[in-house]
Amino acid sequence: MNVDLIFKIAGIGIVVAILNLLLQRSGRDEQAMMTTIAGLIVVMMLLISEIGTLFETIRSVFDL
Amino acid sequence: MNVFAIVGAGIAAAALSAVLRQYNKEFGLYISLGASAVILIAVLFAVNPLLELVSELNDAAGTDTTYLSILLKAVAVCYVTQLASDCCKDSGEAAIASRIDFAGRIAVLLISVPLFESMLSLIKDLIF
Amino acid sequence: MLKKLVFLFIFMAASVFFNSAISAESADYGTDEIYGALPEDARNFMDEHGVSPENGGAEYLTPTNVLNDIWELFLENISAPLKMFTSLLAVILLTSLLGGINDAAGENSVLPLVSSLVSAIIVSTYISGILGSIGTSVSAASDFSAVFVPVFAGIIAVSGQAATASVFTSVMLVVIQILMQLTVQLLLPFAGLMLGVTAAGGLNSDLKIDKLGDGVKKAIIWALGLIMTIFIGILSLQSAISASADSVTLRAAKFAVSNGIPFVGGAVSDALATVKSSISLLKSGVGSFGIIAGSCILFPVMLHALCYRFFLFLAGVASEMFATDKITGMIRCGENVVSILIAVISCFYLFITISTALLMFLCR
Repeated sequence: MNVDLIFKIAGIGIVVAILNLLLQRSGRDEQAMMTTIAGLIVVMMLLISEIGTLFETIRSVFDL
Repeated sequence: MNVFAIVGAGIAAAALSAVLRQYNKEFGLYISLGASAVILIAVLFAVNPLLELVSELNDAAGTDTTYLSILLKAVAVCYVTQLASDCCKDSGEAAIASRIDFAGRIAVLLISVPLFESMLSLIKDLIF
Repeated sequence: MLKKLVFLFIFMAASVFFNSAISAESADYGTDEIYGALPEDARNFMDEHGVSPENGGAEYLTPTNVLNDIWELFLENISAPLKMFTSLLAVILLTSLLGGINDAAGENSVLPLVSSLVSAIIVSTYISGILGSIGTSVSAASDFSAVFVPVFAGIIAVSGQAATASVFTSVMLVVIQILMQLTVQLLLPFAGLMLGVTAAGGLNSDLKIDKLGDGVKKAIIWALGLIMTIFIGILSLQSAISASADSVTLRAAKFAVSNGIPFVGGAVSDALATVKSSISLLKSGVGSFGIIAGSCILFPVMLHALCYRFFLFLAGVASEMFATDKITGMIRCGENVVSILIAVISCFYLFITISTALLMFLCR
């Protein structure tokens, strides 16, 4: 069971949050927003591959 | 299937999501989605013996296997629909959740159309 | 001299006349017709075990033989109900173990609907199979009794109880015809209707179909019980009355014969008594053959229905254990239908057996 996925997402989330905070404090708001979006995209890709695996498993187990 | 691993993963995910929600609201959703996917995959891999038992019983009975496979498909559609609808509700989109629910119900009814047909023909034979 | 000649003549005439009646065994009472009126498998059974109208199955009727045959019949009939039980068990397991997720899904979740539909189909398919076999068994039994009753009544009449014989014939034939017509035309289609309603109840998730089935079953069983009590009461009363009337007639005849005919009166009345006892041997043989034949025709179907009832009960217990309510309701409806069928067959069987046995005992 790959629990690492959860921790990866959490890790990326924490990193993005910290970067966001730092960049906002130093006044570069657009870059803050871009890091947020980049983090979002990375997490989305991880999630989509995991959900793809989920649907494949459901399809194979239930014979759809 | 290690229940403790699943329970641990679930609690950890909930805690992380609670922390991250303050900084980035979307991450709560992602973490919950990720955790649900991981746990469901683990459960599905382990559910195979149960399904084999059920299909063994069915083979021993010797009736049509179509009915039981229809039932299985309906269960699968219910699972997926439930996952998506809960996800939407968690992120506050109750409207989308209801639409997905509705779509799931229609999908199950569509799958069980052969069931309804054989039921109606049976009733016709018995009553007339 | 002339007197002696007259008496000798009467004696010879009497001996010629009564001689043919003493050998009751060789007289034809139509027992072969009974044999021919049996359906195929009953006839095979009789041949296998050496049961015939003459010996009335005396060698066959030991507890071990009967129990062995019942056990073999049970093993034959168990396969189809077992299959039904395993499919129902599969549906119940699947629904309960994998369908728990639908509690939060809302008011009318579809998964219980689909699973109750599947279980209704399974139950209805299997039970509609025995409806046909019940119809054939019941009409075969009534055909057999249409031949058996006149022959049995004829034997009773010859053994001196004419009034009992006529009562027996009339009541039995009428009741059996009524019962058979009632069963085939009314009760079996009605059971099929109930089964269809059960199946339709799978589409509507209300459990009210369940209560309707319970009520109908109670009404039918009560009505059948009442009818049976009335008919058997009539039969016993009339047989008792006519049996005593007949014994009076018989004693009067014996008295008249023994005192009326000089010299040979005692011998003649003894000859009459011999004839009567040999005929009553035949009567008990034919009577028990009739009972055994009725059992052969009706018992297998009843056992089959009982097996179904038993396995439906087991499936209902399993369904309640797994808390799948809709499937429990479906199974309960199926149980009601099978109970009605069992009640009908038992009525028929008990009526034939009890009335034949009653007459065998009353006309000793």
